[in-house]
Amino acid sequence: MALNKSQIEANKLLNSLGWSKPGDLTLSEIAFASNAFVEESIIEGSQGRIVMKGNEAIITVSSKIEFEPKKKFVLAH
Amino acid sequence: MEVNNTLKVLKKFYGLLMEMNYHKEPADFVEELEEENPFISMHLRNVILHRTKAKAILKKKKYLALKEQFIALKELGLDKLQELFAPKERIEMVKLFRKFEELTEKDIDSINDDQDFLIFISSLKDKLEDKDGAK
Repeated sequence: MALNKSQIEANKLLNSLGWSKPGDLTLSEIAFASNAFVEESIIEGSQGRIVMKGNEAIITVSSKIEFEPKKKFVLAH
Repeated sequence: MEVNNTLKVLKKFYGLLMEMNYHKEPADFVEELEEENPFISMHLRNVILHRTKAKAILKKKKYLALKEQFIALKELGLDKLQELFAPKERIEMVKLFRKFEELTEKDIDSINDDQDFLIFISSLKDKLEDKDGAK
């Protein structure tokens, strides 16, 4: 099955980080190692956001989310 | 004749140098070695994985320390720090915020804080690079 552009880029990133199977790295580790800082904070108008400058970024996930898989879902997006 | 041989040797030498590619990342070797030597490939991948984990820990630590300093400096209201945040950029961002109707004033302030923090980090980086360059 042919991969689309996003899947190819995602695979490139995972390869460059040494990821080979689920459980190797957490989403937070992937983000921090890619110069994205992850934090939880009170957000009112959304469940997560990303602010970027150059190759640095801050990813904020709403601290109101209690369900761990949902936090991961928001962070991954 | 001797000159021709020397030229041939030099040509081969440059060719080999080009093939070596000093700037190749370790991750690129993993795929190359996958079929040729799976044992080395597996261990190389493990090294990269642990390097990533270490990088993530260090980055998190640095970020938290910087954030702490940034908040302390902001509370002090140092003039130099205020100068970093160009009001022009702020005005441009407000225009963007208007497109998101669900954003509250608090959200906008928080996004501005994130933006200020990123500007603070990049200014520090620039200063460190200038310092290194001057050495």
